[in-house]
Amino acid sequence: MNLSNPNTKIVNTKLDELYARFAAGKLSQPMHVLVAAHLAMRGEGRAYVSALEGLAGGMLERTPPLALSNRDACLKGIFAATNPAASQLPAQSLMPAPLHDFLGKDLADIKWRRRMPGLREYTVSKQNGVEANLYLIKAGHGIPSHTHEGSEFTLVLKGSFFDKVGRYTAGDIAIADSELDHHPIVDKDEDCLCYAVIDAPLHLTGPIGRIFDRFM
Amino acid sequence: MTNHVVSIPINTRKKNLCLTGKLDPELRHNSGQNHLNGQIYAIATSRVNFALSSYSFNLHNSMKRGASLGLSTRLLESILSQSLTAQDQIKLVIAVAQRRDRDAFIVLFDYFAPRLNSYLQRLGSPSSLAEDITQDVMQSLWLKAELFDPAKSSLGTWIYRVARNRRIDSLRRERLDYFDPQDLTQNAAMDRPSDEPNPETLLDGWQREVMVRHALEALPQDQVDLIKLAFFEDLSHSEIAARTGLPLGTVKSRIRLAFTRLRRQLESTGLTDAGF
Repeated sequence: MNLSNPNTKIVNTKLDELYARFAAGKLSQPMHVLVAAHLAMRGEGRAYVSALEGLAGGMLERTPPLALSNRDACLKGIFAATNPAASQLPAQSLMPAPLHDFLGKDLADIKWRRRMPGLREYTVSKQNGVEANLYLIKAGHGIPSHTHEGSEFTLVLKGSFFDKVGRYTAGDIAIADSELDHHPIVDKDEDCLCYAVIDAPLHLTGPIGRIFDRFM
Repeated sequence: MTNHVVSIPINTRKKNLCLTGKLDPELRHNSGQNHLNGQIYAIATSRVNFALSSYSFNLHNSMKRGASLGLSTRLLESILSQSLTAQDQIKLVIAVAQRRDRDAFIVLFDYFAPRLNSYLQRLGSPSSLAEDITQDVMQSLWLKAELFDPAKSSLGTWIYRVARNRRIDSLRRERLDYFDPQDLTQNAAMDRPSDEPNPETLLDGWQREVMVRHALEALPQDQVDLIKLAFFEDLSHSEIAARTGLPLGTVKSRIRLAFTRLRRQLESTGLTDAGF
């Protein structure tokens, strides 16, 4: 990310909050995958996230225990289990492992949908107001001006793009709030592959909604 | 209603402790032995947690003596495992990783599984799902213990991470049998630990976590409270606003500020530039 950008500090605060929600397990699955993939690609946030996870791990150990109803059966099941074959990430994959596992397929097997010239889209999941898409954007092309209900989080997997806030390269997360009139443009030298999640609008109701509502 | 009073003697190498607590007879009659164990367990936990952490235990002697007093092995293990130190945990997990030592695993299981179960149910998982996820997480420890690297984190944190990721998977997927080998390493730097643990670094992860806890406690009290409420008590921002009487906007901005301060505090003590 362009560090000379005056908005970098704000972005970092938002990123810190995202890290905290990730560490605490309070993100929806597509968002959790986005942050995990970002951490797999970029080292900067890892130590902070590890520190927060360490706090959470300490809390787990201090949680008052609640006996299992089926302790012996549970142990028996565990001792009977065998190691499943590990899925192998194809060499040279553009997909960080967490995203690859979430997709359940390789990039080559994705059936893209053409949204407009220069922009292809693949919807990974759409559930409870959270929509996750992969975008493949041709060099020099942009996504037309748009705003969203809820925030949009975009992880750059390959190539780079810029918007009003800054420039984003592989491993960066761009955060666009609902207020932001968003018009990202891909740099001219390379096509851009992104994983983007539009997170749930706030204040959903019901048990699932409550989970999303945490930490917003 | 009169409550039963139970006393649980525990022998340690250095000192005899006696734990005393009250049991609710209604629950005891209604829910049978498991609930009884749970209650004794809870009493023991609250009494013993602090006192025991400073003693060095001879687990096997205590078990033998406890057995001669007619206490079930399971109960003794549960109570005694309250005292599992970071060193104990590492020794046990190494025994699991290197020899698939079932006894070592059972001690870890009896320590972590009831805590996971409790953690998951507090986050709103129904008890059957909480127990399924608990089994799944503990199974990962049994099969993948060698992926735990004590130089990077404590065992509790490693288990927490696996549980957190499984829980998030379970919110969407029906595939509870889904086993994700990447899961265990995806938040670490992806590198495998060496086969032979280095005694010099065995407690590095755990010690760093203790330092992080100190860094948190060094923040102003109101910020520590907010972080704890938001992060650990699993309250939403609006619930925190209701509890603290602060306006929602203030809660949000203070939590942001608190996390930024925590980060600065960690940076100033060199805790966020360690070689993870």
